[in-house]
Amino acid sequence: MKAENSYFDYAAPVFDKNMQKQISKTRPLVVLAGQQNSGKSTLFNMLTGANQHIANYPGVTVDKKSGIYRHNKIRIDVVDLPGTYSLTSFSLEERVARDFLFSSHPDVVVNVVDAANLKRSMFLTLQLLEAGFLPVLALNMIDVASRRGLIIDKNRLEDCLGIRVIPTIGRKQQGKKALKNIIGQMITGEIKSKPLCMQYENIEPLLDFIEKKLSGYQQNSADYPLRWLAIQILEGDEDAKKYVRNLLKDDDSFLSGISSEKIAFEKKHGFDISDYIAGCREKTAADIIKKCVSAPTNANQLTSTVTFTEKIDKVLLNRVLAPLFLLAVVYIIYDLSIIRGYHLTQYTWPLLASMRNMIAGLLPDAGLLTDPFLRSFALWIIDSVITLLNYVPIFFILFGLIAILEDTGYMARIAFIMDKLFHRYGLHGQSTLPFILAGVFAGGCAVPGVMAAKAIPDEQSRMATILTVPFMNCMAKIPLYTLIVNIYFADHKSWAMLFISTITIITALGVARLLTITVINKMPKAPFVMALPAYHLPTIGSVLRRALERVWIYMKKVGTIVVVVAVVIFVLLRWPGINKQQSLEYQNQMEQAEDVFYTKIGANNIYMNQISGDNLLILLNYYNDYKRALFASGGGKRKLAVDRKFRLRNDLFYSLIKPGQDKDAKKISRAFKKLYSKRKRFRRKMKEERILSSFLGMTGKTLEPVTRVAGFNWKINVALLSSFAARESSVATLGVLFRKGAEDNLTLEQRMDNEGKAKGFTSLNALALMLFFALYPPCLATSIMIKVQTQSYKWMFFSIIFPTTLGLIVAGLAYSAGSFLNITGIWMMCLFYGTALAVTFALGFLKNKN
Amino acid sequence: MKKKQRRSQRRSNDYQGICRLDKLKPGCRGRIRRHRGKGAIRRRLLDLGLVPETTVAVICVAPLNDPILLKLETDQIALRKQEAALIEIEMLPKDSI
Ligand SMILES: Nc1nc2c(ncn2[C@@H]2O[C@H](COP(=O)(O)OP(=O)(O)O)[C@@H](O)[C@H]2O)c(=O)[nH]1
Ligand SMILES: [Mg+2]
Repeated sequence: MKAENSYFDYAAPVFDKNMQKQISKTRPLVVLAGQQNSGKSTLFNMLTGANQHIANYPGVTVDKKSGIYRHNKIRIDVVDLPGTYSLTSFSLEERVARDFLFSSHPDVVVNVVDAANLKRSMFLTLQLLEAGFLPVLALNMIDVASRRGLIIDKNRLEDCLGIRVIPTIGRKQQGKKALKNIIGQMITGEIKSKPLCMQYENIEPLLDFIEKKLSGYQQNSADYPLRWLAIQILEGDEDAKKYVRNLLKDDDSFLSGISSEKIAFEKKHGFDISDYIAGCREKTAADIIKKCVSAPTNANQLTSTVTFTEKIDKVLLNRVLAPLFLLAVVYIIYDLSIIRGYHLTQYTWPLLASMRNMIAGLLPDAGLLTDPFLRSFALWIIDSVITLLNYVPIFFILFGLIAILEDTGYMARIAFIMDKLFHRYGLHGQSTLPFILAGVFAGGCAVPGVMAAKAIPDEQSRMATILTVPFMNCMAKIPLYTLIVNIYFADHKSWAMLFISTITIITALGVARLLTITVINKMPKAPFVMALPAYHLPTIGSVLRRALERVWIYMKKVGTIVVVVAVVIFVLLRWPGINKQQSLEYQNQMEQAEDVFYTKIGANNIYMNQISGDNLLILLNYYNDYKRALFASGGGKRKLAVDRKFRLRNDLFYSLIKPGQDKDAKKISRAFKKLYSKRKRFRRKMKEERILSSFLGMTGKTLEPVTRVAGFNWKINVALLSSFAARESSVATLGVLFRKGAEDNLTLEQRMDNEGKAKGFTSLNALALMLFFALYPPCLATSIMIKVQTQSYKWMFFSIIFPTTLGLIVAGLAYSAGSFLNITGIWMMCLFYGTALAVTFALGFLKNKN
Repeated sequence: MKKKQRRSQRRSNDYQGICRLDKLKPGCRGRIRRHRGKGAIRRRLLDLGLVPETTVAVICVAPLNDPILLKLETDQIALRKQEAALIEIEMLPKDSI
């Protein structure tokens, strides 16, 4: 987050240790540098194939893609840098790219350029030359260039720049061999380049003067090329100035001397030195293009010819059609990933469930009332992991669709369309992607949402986005919403769902505005300046690859956190646990139940021997496994397979639970099912008591006086507390706590409803619960991601405490207002919606004093 | 409202003067004269090729009236009016677009 992470800090003598470790290289290093969408990643994939690895750059969360390939028996490291327009820093990613270039001392820099847009690319190329890198120019997308009728004279270009040029078509793997050969020759030193040295006529004496002065100071002349450093100082680069100030031991007279030279220059010529430098580069680039590229039309007239991309934009960015199209796109994403993806999980869920049952079979068997520690612990962890894995199909589709949007170039257009609205609320056009990923309407995950926020160049907006993304409706919030809506708003289902899916974005905007005018109002802002890429057809390969990459990162990051958190919650929910006396009492009751069972089946039942003693427990567990397997099978034909499997496992037991005409077996079956549900009830009761006397339960009880303002009892508190660990566990915890009636096969909805009515839990309480849940702090995985992205514990704690307080206040207000006005939940919902809309609307007109 | 717009458009077509980039209407072209911005934003604009003496055209304005979409040779560049106001241009006669 800190701007000090700049390349000059990495330079000797203040070399960053992390970077140093990273760059102590043993193999030749090739770095791919270029503008966004020039095809770096495509060429990177072309070079390395599947042999790649994603990590972070030290200290920041920008993805660093590296890979290896073999050429003439040498292994060569390749790194794909984030896109950069120039060697000046604008966004975090650009800063990282620049730092890495300077600190890693690459053997070869491959400058990937878009041949169809060569002039723009020349800026970076010229700067790379100036900074002393001897790049190889990968003239990518020549297919696009020739389609536009551009003819590029490769040899001439090589002569002009003094470096090697390789035409490539990344998409079709063309130019791979030539590129590898040249890289190999550069590494072995067979190629000597004579790079172009750009001249800046009017300031050459000044550059000379600075170079001379600095040459006495910089011990290791290889650190930075002096000429480049001199140009940076004249361009007014803050990082360069800082570096020089350091070098000169805080002697400011030199830099102030330069400043007055600059002023004198401006007086004399009527324009700024940095404009002059940029102008010189532009002229040089134009010169090169003129010499080497022949275009069908006069290049100067290009502004008045209409490209294909522009024609599409005429429609897609049209004032009326743009919002419609955008809505349609978001709807399609929602439909394909959430609705269809959810449908898909119906097929993947049985797989996961049977995997769980298989593992459960390997664990020690369940006890009568309490299970062996290993069993309950392992199953707890597996259940947490499975809930996560269950989302994988949804995320795969979601990430794939996002990759398509990015590859086609429409994602940048979404930012363009939405910027005005977001900017009003202190956010940024590029906040759109994080919000979509986190689930604007319904279904997403805040973790990739927070991760995606790093692309926002504006620090203030980035922070506001990170802090409001958790308000979106992530996948794990939905089960609770569904539960509540089904119980308390059954008559107005679709309205309630509409309320939930839009109230989040309304509050997120309002909160973002509040934050940007208060806590984060001092953070640096950056303008919205963005080159929109030309429309491309995405390739299946790159879309799949990107989707897999992201799913993998998500699973790795969330997976590890979920396991750790599951352990913690397990402990908190289990200890100190119920006392001996209580558990003795349950044991007595269970024994009585067994006695009843044996009397009922009659002493001379012919199966008596097979089900007495330890066998009874085995039969109970057998039946339990059977029921679970039936449930997991999803019914239909697979049910028959389950039956077959269990008959195979124990033919006798099977005939007891599914008795035919056999009288004795029938007797057992009837009595046994009673015993089975009694055991289940005892176990549930014990579990509830254990939770109540656990750390988490006690905390829930202690918090009751506070949470009562919003109408939450201790059970809800426990559910909310455990849902901080992982959202989806809220419904599971509620399921345990509202257990009464479960034996009579009532659904959780009915049970909560029954108990609610008895205790006065009304739709108003339900509304308060929903509101709190909407504003509730990010789950732990997200909190940790926030720590990673902001590089600060302070913001992580803020991201937890602030929404909790806000949520409690909002839920409390809604609850008391509703009680005071004596209206039902649905009316309060409308009232709340109107108020929130009005407040957010008003906040949009609040001017930022900055 | 519409009438007013039309009138101002006519005026801007007649008057080939100097104005700020954000005042340029969609479909109009101009030549960049100088930047009034300083620091990072100025460098960014220069990096993107919005260099003095180059010609830009306004393709369109976003549905909510901000940002604007510029055309610079074959590139499309989006920027907010706030930043566009920092660029001084000389209006060019409106060609066929
Ligand atoms: N037509 C064409 N498209 C290409 C070529 N190389 C890459 N692309 C496409 O350009 C887009 C951007 O490429 P990518 O590698 O992601 O660019 P990066 O931002 O520099 O990493 C992708 O949709 C690629 O499929 C090429 O040589 N020809
Ligand atoms: Mg890339």
